[in-house]
Amino acid sequence: MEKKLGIYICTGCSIGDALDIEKLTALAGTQGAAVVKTHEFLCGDEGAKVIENDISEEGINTVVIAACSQRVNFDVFNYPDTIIERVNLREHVAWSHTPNDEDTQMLAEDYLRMGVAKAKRMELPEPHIEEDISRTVLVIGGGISGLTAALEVAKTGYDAVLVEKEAELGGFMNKMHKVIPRRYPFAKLEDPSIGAVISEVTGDPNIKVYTSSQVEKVEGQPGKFKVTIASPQGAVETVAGAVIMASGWKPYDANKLDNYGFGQFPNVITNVMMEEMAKNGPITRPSDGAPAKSVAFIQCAGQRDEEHLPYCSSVCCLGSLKQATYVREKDANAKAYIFYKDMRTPGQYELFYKSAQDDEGIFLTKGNVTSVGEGDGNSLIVEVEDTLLGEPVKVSVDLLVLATGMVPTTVDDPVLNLAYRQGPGLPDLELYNGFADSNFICFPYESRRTGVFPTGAVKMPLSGAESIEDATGAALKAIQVIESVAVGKAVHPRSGDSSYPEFFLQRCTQCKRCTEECPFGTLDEDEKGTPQPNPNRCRRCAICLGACPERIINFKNYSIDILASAIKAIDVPEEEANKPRVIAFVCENDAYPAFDMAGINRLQYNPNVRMIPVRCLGSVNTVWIADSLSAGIDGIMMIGCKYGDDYQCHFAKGSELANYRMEKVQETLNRLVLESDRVKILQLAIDDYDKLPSIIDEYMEQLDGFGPNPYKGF
Amino acid sequence: MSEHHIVEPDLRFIKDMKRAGGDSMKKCFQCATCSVVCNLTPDDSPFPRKEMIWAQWGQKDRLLSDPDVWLCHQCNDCSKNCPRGAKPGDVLGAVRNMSFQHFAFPRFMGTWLSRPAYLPLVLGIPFALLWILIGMYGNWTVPEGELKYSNFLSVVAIEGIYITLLFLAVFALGVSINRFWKTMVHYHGEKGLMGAPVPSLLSILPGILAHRRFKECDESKDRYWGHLGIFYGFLGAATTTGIFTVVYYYGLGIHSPYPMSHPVKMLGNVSALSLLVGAFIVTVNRFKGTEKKSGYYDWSLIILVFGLGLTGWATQFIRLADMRSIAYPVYFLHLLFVFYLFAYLPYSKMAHLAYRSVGMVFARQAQRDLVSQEEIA
Amino acid sequence: MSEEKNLGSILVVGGGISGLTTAIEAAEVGYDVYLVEKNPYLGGRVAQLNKYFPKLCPPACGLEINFQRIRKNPKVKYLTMAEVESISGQPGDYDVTVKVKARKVNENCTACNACVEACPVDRLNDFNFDMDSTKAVYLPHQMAFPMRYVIDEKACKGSSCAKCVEACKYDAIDLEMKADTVNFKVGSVVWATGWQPYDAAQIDTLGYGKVPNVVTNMMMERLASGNGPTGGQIQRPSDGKVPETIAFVQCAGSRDENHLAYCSYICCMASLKQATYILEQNPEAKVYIYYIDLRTPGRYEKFLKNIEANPNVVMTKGKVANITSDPESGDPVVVVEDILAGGLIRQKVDMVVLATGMQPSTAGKKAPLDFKYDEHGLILEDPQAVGVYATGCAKNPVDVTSGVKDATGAALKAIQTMVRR
Repeated sequence: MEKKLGIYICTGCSIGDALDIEKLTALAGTQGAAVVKTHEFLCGDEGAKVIENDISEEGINTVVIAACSQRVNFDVFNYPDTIIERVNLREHVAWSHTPNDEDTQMLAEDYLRMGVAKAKRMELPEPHIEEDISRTVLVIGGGISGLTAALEVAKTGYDAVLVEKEAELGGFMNKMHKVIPRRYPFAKLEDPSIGAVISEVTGDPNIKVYTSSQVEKVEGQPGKFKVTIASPQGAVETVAGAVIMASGWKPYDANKLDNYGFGQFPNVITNVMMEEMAKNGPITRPSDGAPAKSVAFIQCAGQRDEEHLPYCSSVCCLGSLKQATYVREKDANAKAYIFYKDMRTPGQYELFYKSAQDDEGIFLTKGNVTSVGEGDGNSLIVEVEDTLLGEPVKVSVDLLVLATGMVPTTVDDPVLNLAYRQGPGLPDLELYNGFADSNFICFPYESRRTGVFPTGAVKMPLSGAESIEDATGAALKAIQVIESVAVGKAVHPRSGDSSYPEFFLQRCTQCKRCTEECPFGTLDEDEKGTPQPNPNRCRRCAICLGACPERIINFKNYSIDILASAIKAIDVPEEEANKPRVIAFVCENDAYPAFDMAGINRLQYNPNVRMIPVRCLGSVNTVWIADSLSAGIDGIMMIGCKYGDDYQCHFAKGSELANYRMEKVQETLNRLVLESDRVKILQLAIDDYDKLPSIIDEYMEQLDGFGPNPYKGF
Repeated sequence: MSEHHIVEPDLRFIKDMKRAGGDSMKKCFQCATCSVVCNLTPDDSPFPRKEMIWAQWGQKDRLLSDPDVWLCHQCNDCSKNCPRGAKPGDVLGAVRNMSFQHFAFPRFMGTWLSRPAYLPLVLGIPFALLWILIGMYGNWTVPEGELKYSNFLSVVAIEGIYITLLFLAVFALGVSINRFWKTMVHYHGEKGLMGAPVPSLLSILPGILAHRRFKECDESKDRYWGHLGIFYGFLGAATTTGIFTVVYYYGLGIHSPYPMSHPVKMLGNVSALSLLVGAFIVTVNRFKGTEKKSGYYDWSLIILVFGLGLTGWATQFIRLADMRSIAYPVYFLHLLFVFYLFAYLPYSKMAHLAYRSVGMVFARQAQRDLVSQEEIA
Repeated sequence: MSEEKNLGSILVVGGGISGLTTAIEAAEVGYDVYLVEKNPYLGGRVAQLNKYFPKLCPPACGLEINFQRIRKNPKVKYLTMAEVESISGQPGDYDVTVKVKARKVNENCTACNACVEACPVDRLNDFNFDMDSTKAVYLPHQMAFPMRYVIDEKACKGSSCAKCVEACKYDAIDLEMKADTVNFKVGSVVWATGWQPYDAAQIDTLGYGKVPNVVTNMMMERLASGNGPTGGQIQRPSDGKVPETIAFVQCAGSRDENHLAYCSYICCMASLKQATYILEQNPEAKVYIYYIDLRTPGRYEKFLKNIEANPNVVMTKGKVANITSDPESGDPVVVVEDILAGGLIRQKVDMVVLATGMQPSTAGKKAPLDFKYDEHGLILEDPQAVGVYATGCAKNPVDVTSGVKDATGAALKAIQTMVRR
């Protein structure tokens, strides 16, 4: 496409008061633009029309708008099929630097040159669209979560394939005697309604159910996952557009709880065993079959315990209240004791607690169970300390129920069996104690495998009602990914982005950095180690671009060349001018908005820093650092999101990888006898904008100590 | 760490407690709001939170030996603020009612007075007894001349039977209270106790007479006046009866009726008024809801107070108005109420007079009441 | 996302994290969404929070992503300062009437701030719970989306003053702007009007409004926020002193049938989180947390463990049921039974934070729909419902993650109504 460049400079919002617009316009005139215009109110109707007219009348197809932040007036400066580059003269220049100062003017001029350089090299992305997108959702697991997900998918007009490893559908719900009330007033135990759900699923023509089956292999990408199912009839192959992983949980191994006498005394059972017993008849002592007239429940049997499960299983308090209630329903003279650490019945479940405890025969106390021993005639003696009764107590019971916790199936099984370069399961689940959870509070369906959505108890300990809610949302996300890839667009967080990475494989050296570092496992490899892209898995973070030492991975509108040219567009003054130049690569999701906020608050900071927004700090290629240093840039700041266990990077590994790579860069700097701290990684949250001036000042001070870049002028 | 205490919840006791006014107790979730809002609890091991879990767990012995239960004057600040509707005030009231039953001598009497089912029996006995007495020593027909109740039943007969009753009741109460005291000592030990019972009683007496504890209540301040009225009403009535019986009848040989202007007579009338006004306040409060829960024990006492006061007054006015036709039946009723009061003293809510005093004495000696706390501080 | 095809429209009422999520998730499947928000900005309650638990990350971070998603997706049309007046029709075909209040600042606004510099009138800043003030023309908060100013009709002196009109170079201020009514058709409705902090003044034992330096947890969020009334320095309101001792009162109004019978789910985690705010600013500070039960379900347990390990944090089982002023210093004194130790404590502190709960916004004004409510105004979920759905804290007090999950599911239910048609 023949580019015809238009540059539009807004003088409103004190840009005109802070800068020498004439000089800036003159500079714009040297940039090869067909049109250079200034306007005092570019985002007003009239201003926006000016650009619109130039596009339609003058054939302008590449627009550089030097005005406010790209985060505002996005709807005003929205011209279809036009390359648009926003130069932020307002928040990042006029509002945050001394007006009519030489340095401020230089900053604006650099930003304008950088914007033009980028715009000249940017191309409009064309979406990658695969043919024959499958609108079937694979659901792994036939418990309440999986059943719900399959049903909801089918209700929305899509097909589902449900794979359950057991012979029966229903999972743990099917083994329950009663379930905790799910609706207001949360007073009475309910009969499990799983039977109705199962028949709805099996009766739905759009749901294909495989029982006694397992997912053997999932290959491909969203929109066209090739799924191999090991069924009793042999291997079945099918195609799915998305995967919902609802493989659920298993009870914690009570054999590890020998301090509570499990395995030692037959009358010590788990809450799961209790449920089965209650479903099948009266509650009795396993030792002699005699009716259990008194039952004790130990909460947190392994949970909240570093030795066993460090987390809380969320539903065991409710479960024991339920079981105590039916112990009493089955036998009006029975007694039920519950020993808890904290009674956890959050939200409206409090109402269930309130109603369950109002029973003569249920005895509750906080306490630590210190020992379980045998009493007279098959009874058990449970000793409890730190009770609310003001003293240690012991009770004699017929049956002791350990309220054991939930362990996700993913703790020792990849479940998905992905035929991916990076392995068969979801990565880094140890961060979540093995649960297939999201790291994001705001985005609970985020997973490191695009198009794969864990749901239900495999994701976090959940009650049945909560699982239903979670699975309904997962069904939406599965449908959403299918509809997105069908039109070649990315899903969250770069929703709607139709750019994708292109690989110039002739120059690939098979170093495998891209295939290893992609946080989403997008790339597979052939035998030689050449990356094999799967664009529908891609989230467009460009971390592969940052990884590639051969610089062969590029997007149409985000490439090594585009940013390198922006770097080169910076005018580096002579050493004698005593004007250091620093480039700040800033994450456009958090750090860039933080700089906007600094501007909005009119916080003033050093004008020698040039900001380059990047998709993710992980997308920064070290060649840009080298380019910068050889261009005489004195220092480089890399401002991105927090990394570590509680990472805030929207692409999970981006800022962490950037840090790792920069360590290498710093080593190189040391070899070149350049101070390694000239390149500095900084973690910044979006609301840390008030700290920006001092962060920059500190860095500039440090840089001052190093003196100018010795390569300046070479 | 002390020894593990074997806990065996007493389901029957829980049921009894619920019947005796504590039916909300299982709702407690041990937040201790009650202990904080209570103006009568000591800081150390405060009540009524701990009593609530003992009640929930059917810890009969703990509760019946707990002097704190008697420090509670059922202001209901706790019940008002309870986030769960567990009404600790009522539950402690139920514990007190259970004490009348549990320590009762003889025990069956305690049971009789605890439930409406026994009411025909409880009222039938005095009715029959009085009827027989009248058959033997009295006369249902009103003779000509001045209306004198001594014509209905001779004073000697009444005095004979009622004074005997009173002595028996006081004896039974003494036995009951002794059991109560021993239980408290058994559970709490004598070691911690400070001073002797009698001086302790003397030291708490001014507080009782001034109803100091009632004044601490926030939620139901009106109860102060209600209880004060009934308390001094009874005190006055007892004094009147005592003076007339001991001093005038036997001492000076002056026989009733007395003129209205007689100071002792005036005291009697004021006492009756005080009783009625007190009972009226208490009743109104109950309907207003400031006294949350009213069980059998409470209503029995209220009806008794109204009955005593009204029939007492009525007999006097009937005599003055010379309403002969209804004079004896009303007097009969009055005697019935007095019988109830005397004979059932150790088992009805009236017994709290003794239990509470003794409980408070124990609390004083165990330094559990606020005054002794202040003294310590 | 076939942009040519009109798949149908969804009305989402409430622009908090739940409503935003429903709107965006549905739009990203290809449906048109009208998002109606009564405040002049999107983001709702979470916009007022300093950090999220347990990651201690700023809510603005997730909001920013969501706003980016809205920017890039023309299918989401949002109306701020708008309230739904009526909804009629049946599933698949509802007529909606929305009343849009006069913002008095039009789309010409560039957020340049010249009007604020000219405005002579102050108003209490409700975004910061009246702990500071703004001018009558103001930006709702610094990260507001849309980034547009608004005039407080009650505070503004109107055309007699009009200093802002003169100051604005862009003709953005229209003091004569009138409320507007907007009508449109949708196929389904999601009600996500969220929650409000329970009014602490209703809890007469806890001294809010009577005892100085007793604040609510939401006020604490603002005090700790960089864009809050104190620039993020936690100070007590009476004298600006940096508190050295702070008491957190859990279940202030929650789990209490005299107030909110349910547990508000988030308050334990919120207080633990706020303890980190305090200790970060002043590691020597002493933090007391008084609770009935510590509710940190699931993996939140780890957060509890970390804070428990801090020797300056004292956790006591027992509910504070009385807060008074120390007669000498005027400092608040909390009274509580330390249940496990068995004694009443009177703890004098510099500042008290009441962990007040979440009350549904529908406690007051109800939705113009056939919802059923519980006694607190929570919308009762009807599993058979078609066409209209409730989500988020309007139906159940939950944390952000659970709310977002439910809101995503609500988007699907709303879509299903259209598919059925």
